[in-house]
Amino acid sequence: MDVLVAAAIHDAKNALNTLGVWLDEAQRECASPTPSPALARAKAIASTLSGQLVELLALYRAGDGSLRLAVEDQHLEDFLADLMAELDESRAILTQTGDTPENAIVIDTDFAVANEVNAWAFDAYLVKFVLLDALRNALRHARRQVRFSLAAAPGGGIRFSIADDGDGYPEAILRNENRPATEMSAASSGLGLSFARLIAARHATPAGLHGRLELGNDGLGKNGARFSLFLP
Amino acid sequence: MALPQKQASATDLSDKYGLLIDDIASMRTTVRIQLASIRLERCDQARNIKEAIDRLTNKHYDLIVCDYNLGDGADGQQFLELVRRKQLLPLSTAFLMITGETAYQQVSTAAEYSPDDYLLKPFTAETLGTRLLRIIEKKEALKPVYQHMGAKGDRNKALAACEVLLAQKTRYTLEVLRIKGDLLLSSGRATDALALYEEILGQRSTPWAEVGKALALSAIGDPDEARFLLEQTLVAYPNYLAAYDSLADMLVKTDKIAAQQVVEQALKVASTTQRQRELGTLALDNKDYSRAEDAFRVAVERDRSGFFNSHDDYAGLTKSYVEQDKTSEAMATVKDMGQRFKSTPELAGRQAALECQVHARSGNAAAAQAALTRALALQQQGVLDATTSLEIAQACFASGRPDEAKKIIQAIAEDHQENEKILARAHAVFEAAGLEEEGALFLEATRKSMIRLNNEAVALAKSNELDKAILMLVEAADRLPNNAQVAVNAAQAILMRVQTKGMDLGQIGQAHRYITQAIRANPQHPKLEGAVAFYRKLAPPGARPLEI
Repeated sequence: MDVLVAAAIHDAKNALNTLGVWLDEAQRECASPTPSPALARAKAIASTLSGQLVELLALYRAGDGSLRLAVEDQHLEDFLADLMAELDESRAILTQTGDTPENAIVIDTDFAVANEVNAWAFDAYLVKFVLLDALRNALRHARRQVRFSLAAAPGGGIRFSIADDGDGYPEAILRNENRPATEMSAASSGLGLSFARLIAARHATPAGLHGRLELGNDGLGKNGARFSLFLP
Repeated sequence: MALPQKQASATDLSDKYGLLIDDIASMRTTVRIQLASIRLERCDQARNIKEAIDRLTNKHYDLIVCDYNLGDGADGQQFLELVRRKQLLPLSTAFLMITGETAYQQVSTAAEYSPDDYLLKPFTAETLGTRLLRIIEKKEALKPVYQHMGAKGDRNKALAACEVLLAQKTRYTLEVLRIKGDLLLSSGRATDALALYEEILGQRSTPWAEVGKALALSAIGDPDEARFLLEQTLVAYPNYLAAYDSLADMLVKTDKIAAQQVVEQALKVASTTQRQRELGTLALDNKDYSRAEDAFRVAVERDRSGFFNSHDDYAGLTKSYVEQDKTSEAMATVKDMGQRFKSTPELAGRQAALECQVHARSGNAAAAQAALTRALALQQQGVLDATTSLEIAQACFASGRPDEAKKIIQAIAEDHQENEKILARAHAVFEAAGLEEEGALFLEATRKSMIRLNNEAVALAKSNELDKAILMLVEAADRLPNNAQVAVNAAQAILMRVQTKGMDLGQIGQAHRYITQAIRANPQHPKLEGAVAFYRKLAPPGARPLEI
């Protein structure tokens, strides 16, 4: 049964990816000078669902003990460039749907440290999902501005921070923050945050340092949300 | 303040040669179109491993785009390891692996066998282009180091090139440090390597530096600390295959049960033919015969491409059956082996030796002797490799002819004096015959007699009896083509004679021959460098040049 669940999620995710390819093809066949908002919206939904299935699959695998991270050195500048390119791509799709106020929001980035730190070891695929999810979430809640920055943590480690100028996290989520990341449990704070906590906690060093998620309402504006991912 | 100069970037793929490897036609077409749209027009295609190897044998490629799934039980990672081992793929060629998201979790491994990057499906042409250009830029930057690596490389020159790149503070500093650590370890400079890894780990934790530190600790003679560190590394990085492989390598010498468990764990991360074979071999040594049977059966059945199996897989499966008294299965496996591989003396010798073992176990002494006679006839021609010869020795033990077994093993042990793997295999043959302690003593005596031979020759040379020394060494070198130590010493002695008695082109040619023999036997032998320098100093203009 366990194998079936994982395989079913996996197949569904692949099917959604294929759906995305066919939606692109449909867009081409339309041959209209302006992209079809309906197709763009369908594509955005397929992409969101596929992302959610990746997160679900990771949580499921963590539960049955088969989630293993592939930690390797990543050039931070390249990693961040790829991440921002992917974010731009999904924002471009949103623009085509025509009803997306969040696209007016400006993303400030501060990656000055990336060059100095050069590379860091982490699972690029899973961390990218965590950060894209957090960025999209920040874009949904921001009024005007999102700030995305990278810092070298004192005492070793790096910290990705995403701050917005929205209304901040609800109390319930912040109360949850320090709870240990038990797999498949934190339904109250949503799939995205459970996934983020899990991936943060699974990053570890042989010396026993662990990654963590830090949430707060000390972002931008009066009490905007701040999402920080610390990787040891 | 001047900003650090960005690396000169390769802007374009139009002057590159590419090779695209994928077993699915529609995928090849899609990726081919994507590659053309990023101006890589010159791109060959391969549908399977055989075609890919043919292409790589005949042409130089700047970049390779390879799908992880290659069909026929083959995958891109095993392919990459195979072509690196066969020296068909220089480090300067870019290798991009295309994977699904489950396969990408299996590919982190030692640097030499790592793809330069993975690209997860689905991807756009733009992403493909960005990634390829990034790799090509890196390869370009590291070229000064790569050109001194590989079989014909020179580690000292490669290390010097590393220093130059480190001083330039490029964005590839960590990659260069990783290569430098590997080079220090393989040149036996474990203390320097340890210092390097500790400095890196003071700044950051990263899997390759943790494993490097463990290897350095082990080389320095602290196996307990090395083992502890590797175990901690695997807790933090449970997908890092190089850590499993290093730990298993270490444990094989001290604790084969633990080594078997580590290989079992590594197989859960990535099942390859080579790891199945390792598991089977350990399980056989541990007398865990049904596990050995399973492992070898997977190794034999899964690889339908035929590129990853070796005689050892069939031999291992046969022995697993023999030990469980499954005689007919064992015989069928020996027969299958004949269908599977090209007909060579090694194949015939291996089959005959295995057949002998099957019959001896099932009590059919006449058939066992008949098979052994065939095996020994081949052995006497002197063309068989060490593994096949050791199989024949095992057959000799099995059919009650221990003296012949020992004669074969002694010749192998003398010839492969410095090859730990072969010596361990030789010991395992004694072990299988229930002669573990006798085997250890026997091999130790052989080792000492080889050391004595070399020492005596050196002593003769020093006491002006150079001709006697040369006679001794040349006799040994001609008898032991795989013994680099003896060949180097023979060449050194001959060159000393030229130096003291005057130029003799015949003797210069002889020295060249023995140095070449030593290079073929072990290009990394520590005494080679000195011998080559000596040769170059003495050889007159027009003498044949030497390249390590």
